[in-house]
Amino acid sequence: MLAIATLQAWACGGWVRPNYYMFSVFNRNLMENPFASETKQYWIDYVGNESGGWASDGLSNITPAEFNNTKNEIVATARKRSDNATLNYLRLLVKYLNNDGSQFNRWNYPTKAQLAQQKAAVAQVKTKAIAYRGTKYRNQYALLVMRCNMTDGNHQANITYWKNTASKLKESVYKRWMKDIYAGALFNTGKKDEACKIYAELGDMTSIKYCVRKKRNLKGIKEEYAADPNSPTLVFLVQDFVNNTQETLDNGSNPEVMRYVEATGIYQNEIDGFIDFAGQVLNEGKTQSPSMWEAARGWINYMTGNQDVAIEQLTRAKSLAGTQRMKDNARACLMLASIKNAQPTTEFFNYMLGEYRWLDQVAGIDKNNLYATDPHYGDVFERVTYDALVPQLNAWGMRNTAIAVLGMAQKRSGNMGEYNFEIDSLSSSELDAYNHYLSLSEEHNAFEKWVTGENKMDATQFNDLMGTKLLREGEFNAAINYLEKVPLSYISEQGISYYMARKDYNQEIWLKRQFLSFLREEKTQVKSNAKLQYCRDMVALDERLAKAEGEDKFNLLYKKACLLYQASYKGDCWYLSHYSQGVYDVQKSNEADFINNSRQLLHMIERNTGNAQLAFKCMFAQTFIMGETGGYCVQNEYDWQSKSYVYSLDTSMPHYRAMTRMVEYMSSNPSIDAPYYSKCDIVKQFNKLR
Amino acid sequence: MRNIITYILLLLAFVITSCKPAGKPVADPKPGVYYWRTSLRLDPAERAFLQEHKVGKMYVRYFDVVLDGNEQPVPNATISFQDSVPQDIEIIPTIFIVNNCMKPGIDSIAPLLVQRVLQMNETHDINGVKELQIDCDWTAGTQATYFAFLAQVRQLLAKHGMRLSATIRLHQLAMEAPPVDYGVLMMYNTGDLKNSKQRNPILDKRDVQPYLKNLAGYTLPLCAAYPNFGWQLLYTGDKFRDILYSEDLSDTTLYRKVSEGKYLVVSSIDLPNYLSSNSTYTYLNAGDTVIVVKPEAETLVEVHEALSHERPGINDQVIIYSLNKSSINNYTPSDYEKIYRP
Repeated sequence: MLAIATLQAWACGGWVRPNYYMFSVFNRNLMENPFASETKQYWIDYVGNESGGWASDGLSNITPAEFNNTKNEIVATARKRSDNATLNYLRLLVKYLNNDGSQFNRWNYPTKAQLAQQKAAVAQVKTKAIAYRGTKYRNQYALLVMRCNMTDGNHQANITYWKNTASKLKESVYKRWMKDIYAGALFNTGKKDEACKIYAELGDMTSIKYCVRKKRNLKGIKEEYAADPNSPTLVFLVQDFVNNTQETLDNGSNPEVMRYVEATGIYQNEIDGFIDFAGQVLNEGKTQSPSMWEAARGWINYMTGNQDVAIEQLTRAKSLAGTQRMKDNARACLMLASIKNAQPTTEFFNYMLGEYRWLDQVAGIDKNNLYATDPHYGDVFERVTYDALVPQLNAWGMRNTAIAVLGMAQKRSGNMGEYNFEIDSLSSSELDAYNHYLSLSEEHNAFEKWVTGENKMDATQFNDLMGTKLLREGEFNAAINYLEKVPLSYISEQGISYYMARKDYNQEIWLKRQFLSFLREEKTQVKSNAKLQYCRDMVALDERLAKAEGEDKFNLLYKKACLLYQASYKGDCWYLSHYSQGVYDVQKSNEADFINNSRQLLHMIERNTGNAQLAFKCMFAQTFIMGETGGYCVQNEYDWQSKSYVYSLDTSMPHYRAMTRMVEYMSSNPSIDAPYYSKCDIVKQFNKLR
Repeated sequence: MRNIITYILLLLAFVITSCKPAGKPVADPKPGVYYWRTSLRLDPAERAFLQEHKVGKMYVRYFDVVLDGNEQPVPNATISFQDSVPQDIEIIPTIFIVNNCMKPGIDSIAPLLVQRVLQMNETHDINGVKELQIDCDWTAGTQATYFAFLAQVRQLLAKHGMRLSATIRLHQLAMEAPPVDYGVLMMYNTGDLKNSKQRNPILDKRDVQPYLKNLAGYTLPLCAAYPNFGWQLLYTGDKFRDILYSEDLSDTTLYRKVSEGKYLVVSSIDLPNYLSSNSTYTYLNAGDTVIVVKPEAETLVEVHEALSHERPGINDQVIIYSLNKSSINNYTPSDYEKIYRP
């Protein structure tokens, strides 16, 4: 469940969830070859099992020379049955597939002679296919004829062949495929409208998309509806319009867009126009898909803030006429729309539970499969959960429920970001409360029972997280109790194990850095839990500090300052308090300010110690911290005039003041022995530039 | 005795220095162009460009290598030769390999790749080919595999008397040099498309600056390639969406010019997706903006001069990316000459 601890430790890039579209009245899987599944099914039936489907894909990998001995399931089955009709057809099909032009993207590039042979081979296939007089594979041979014409770029021949021969054949997937090729020939000879109608009729969504690319606006929708109120392209055009409206509206609050008043007007006019037009379509009663039109205007109304109207229209759309997908689409949109103005009542949670179970069903999600079989409903699941329900639960003050929902969603979507972020942002007491919440099944409503049922945190994960959070909060003694229970094997499986095994928190960071490339990160068997040892060291240090006096105390305080900085998000040993590190990390509210605590200690020691060497080291350390946290005043820029790199000093930076103070102190106290100072590149550059 | 040691040390220093390829320009330099389309058919304007600027080398993208559905590297988008190549121009077949192909087993395609290039030359009567170029945006993670692959390709080419070159991206200057005969430093696509409102993503001096210090010490002989193309970048709000391909932005039924180089989409339209390798389309919403970016000629010249300063000889051979009638007119003939023959 808690994958946070096993993340790659260096992950620092943010993942932004795509703007998933809610409106879907046709399955996006239709964008794939519309004939593939049916033609495969023929061979599955022929072979008698699923291997026939894979074998049909494999036909293009057989060469004509291999044909008689191939183990391809389809050919082997035909051979076993002495099915000469099938064998003859397959032999010709294989010959075509070997010469259909795809060889230009194979490793063996054809020679001149082979190119000529290929052309001749296609001509031979065509001649044989035309000559076929049998009945069993009549349509398949006809399809071969049209494919040969297509390979030759002979569109006119395909138009003629369709009209004279293919259109008169019996109905089958092959005939529909031929009609699709015929549409392509029409398209390529300038008869685009005619072609598009055929694509729409055949459900060839990829081609429809291309055909109607200039109609994908309200004007195009109106024209298409006027020509045919039940035109199949309307399904595509309406879905596209609604989804693109969503895209525009979701980005519409962007100042860059809003700056163009014309832009706002243009899309708002188009949106308003569509809502009115959908109403007109519903009133006219000519459409056989009122569910789609009602849901379209309902969803757009929801997006434009007309909540009550949207709920009313989407509810109605669920039961109006249309395909099952159209009705499901209305239901999914209604689920999301219902969250915004809801109250946390038992009725609402029961509704959510029912709809989530339905979503699991239509998306084909189960606990063992992260990926939805229908990707659209997987997207709906994510949008409903992350963009609507979780923010609403948080707004109601139900944070633990919101986190549990994120945990439940993680199982289904595979996205770990949000859940991990929430868990990471909890304080130790909040984590304790969340863990307690997960076990309160008696007091939960049905929805909570469902989500908490999928979010059990095991003891090791809890102990590691609690120990780390307490360490992060500076509660070292309390952290020990949890960290002691975490086995080394658990730490070794985490991304941070690579750093834990290689970086020593006892190192004074301002004197020696411990750089490790995240590119080489690998899980490493750790010999001890550095977090536990760190906490013990800090507790022991505090005990010694309580008894220490004089310079001994300052030395111990210096040690503490070093250790605190190392465990901060900027320290080399960030792995003590964090599970990952990134360049954009900042001080978080649920962690003690180790950097500032360290700086304050260094400042105090510098002011009060009688040891000049130690005082200077503290000054050096404070200057380092200033540079690390606020930026360095020594800067290196390329000068395009002189064509050289030029170092410069930014005198406005706090680091400049700290450097000045340190350098001046050193020049007036030459007896201080600080080799780290004289070796420091930044000091050298600073002195050159002053 | 002391004099002998000094002599030996000096001799050694000379030997080391003379063997060090650092800072070397490429051998046999000629003004060049990249040809990066899927069919070779030269427009009259393109032929005129070759002639006017006495272009001596054409780096022609022959095909890409991508992973297929079985995760096997395969050729893709092979060029179709629909026109004869100019006889007096040396053709350098160039292969773009997608970085994710660089995994164990890639070495097995080295002979296939070389053989394929040789066969393409033979089939299409492309004579006098002396070199092959590989373009791959390798990373630290794929470096070892990529370099081993290049070494193998180089060895195979040597048997045919051919040399091997590779493209070098700016950030790769800080990495070990690949085992090839020379590199072409790509002075384009230096920026981030997502930040193109702040900086020119094709070539911005600020993006070049951090890498100049690595030029002098880069051990491989180098020449440079400069862009002549512009991009039409599509935004929905601040969000970068896509690159449009040579869209006619003067079509007032679809676009309204709101300022220099900035257009507002006034009617929704679907266009082929330039960034995608699949045949997909990009939907332009009413309200989207199209921003036209191209590097200023002055920028090209400034960067060109800075490169010469940091590494004399790098501009002995300049390659323009790319030969395309829609790009040629982005600069004047005099601009091109400032780059080709300053």
